[in-house]
Amino acid sequence: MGADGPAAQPNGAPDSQGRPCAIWRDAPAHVRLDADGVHLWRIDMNPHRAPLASMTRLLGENERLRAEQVISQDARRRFIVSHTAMRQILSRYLDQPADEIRYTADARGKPVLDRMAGAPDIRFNLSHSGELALLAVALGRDVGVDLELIRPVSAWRIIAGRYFSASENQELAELPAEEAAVAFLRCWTRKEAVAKASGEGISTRWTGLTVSLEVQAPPSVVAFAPGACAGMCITLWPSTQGRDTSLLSVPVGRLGHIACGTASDRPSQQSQVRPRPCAWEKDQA
Amino acid sequence: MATVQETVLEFVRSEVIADRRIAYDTSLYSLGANSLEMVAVKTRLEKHYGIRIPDEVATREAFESVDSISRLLARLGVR
Repeated sequence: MGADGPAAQPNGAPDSQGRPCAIWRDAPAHVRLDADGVHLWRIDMNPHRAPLASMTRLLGENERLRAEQVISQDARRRFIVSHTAMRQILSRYLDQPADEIRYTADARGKPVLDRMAGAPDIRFNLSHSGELALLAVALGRDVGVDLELIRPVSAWRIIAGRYFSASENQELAELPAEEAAVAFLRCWTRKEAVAKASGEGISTRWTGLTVSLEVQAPPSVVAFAPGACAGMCITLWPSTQGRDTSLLSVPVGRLGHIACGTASDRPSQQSQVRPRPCAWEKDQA
Repeated sequence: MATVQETVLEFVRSEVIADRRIAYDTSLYSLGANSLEMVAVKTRLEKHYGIRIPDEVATREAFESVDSISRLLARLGVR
C-alpha cells in the first residue's frame, strides 16, 4: 500500500466509524499500488509559473490538437497541466516515460490505457472543478471520480426528476430547500462517479440505481449499473475549519466521490475487501 | 420569437458559462463544460420545448456545440 513517508496515522486505515483515513501527503519516491488500494492524486491546475511549452511536449498528438482548439486561455492551461500531470503520475505506476504513455477512448468514450505487454492493469479516471483536478488510480478494478463546485444549480429539481430514483427523489423532497440543493450535488457526484467508473456515463437508465444521500454515511456499497456487480463509493468531503484529517478532503466549496469496482477477477462475487484510499499531492515537477 | 439556436445559446450561457465569445460552432467541452452542466442544458431544453431527448441520441457528439444541439432538436421536430 506504499505507506512510506512520515505519518502520524496509517494512510488508508479506517477509523472507528469505518470512514477511510487519508491525508493529502507528498507521494513517496516509489508509489506502489496493490489490488486493495485506490490512489487519489490532487493536482493544482494553476501552479506558479507553469512551463506550458515543455508540458505540451509530453502530450500525445490528439491531446495537442485538442489543446489548440480550446479558445479560452484558462481552459487550455488547465487541460495542458492536468493531462501532463496525469501522464507523469501514471508513468510512476507503469514504469514508462510520461510522453510514451498511450491512452485512447473506448467504445463509450472512457479513456483507457493502451497496455504494454506485461504491464500492470492500471486504470484511472480524472475529474476537475475550478483549478483543482483529481486523478484516481486503481489496479485491476474500475475507478471513477467526480468533483463538483457546491453552487446553485437552478435546474436541479428537473434533473433529479429525470435521472434520480424514486427513493432518492423522496429523500430530497423531505429536506429543507438549502439542504436539498447540496444533497442533490452529493447524489449527483455519487452517481456520476459510479457512472464514470463503469464507463457508461449517466443516463436516464440510472433511475434504477439508488445511492445514499446521508451526510455521515461511511463508504457504501453501490451497484455499478442496474443489475451489475457491486462496488464501493467513497465520499470526498469539503474540508472543515477543524481540518478533519480523518476524511478525504477537498477545498471548502467542493465535494465529490470516488467509486471503485470490484476486482476484475471476481466479477460475480461481492468483494469483501474494501478498497483503501491513499491521497497524494502531485508535486510541481 | 427566439430561434432554436438563440434558445440553446441562452441555456448554455445560463448553465455553463456566460462567455460572450461562444459562437454557435464553439466546442462546449473545450470551454470546460462538465456533464452536470450539459445535463442541465439538456433538461432545460426538454422542459422548454415539452419534449424528451432520448439517451441514445443525447450523445457527447450531439452536445458538442450550439449548432449540433440545434440540429438534434430539429431531428426531434423542434422548429
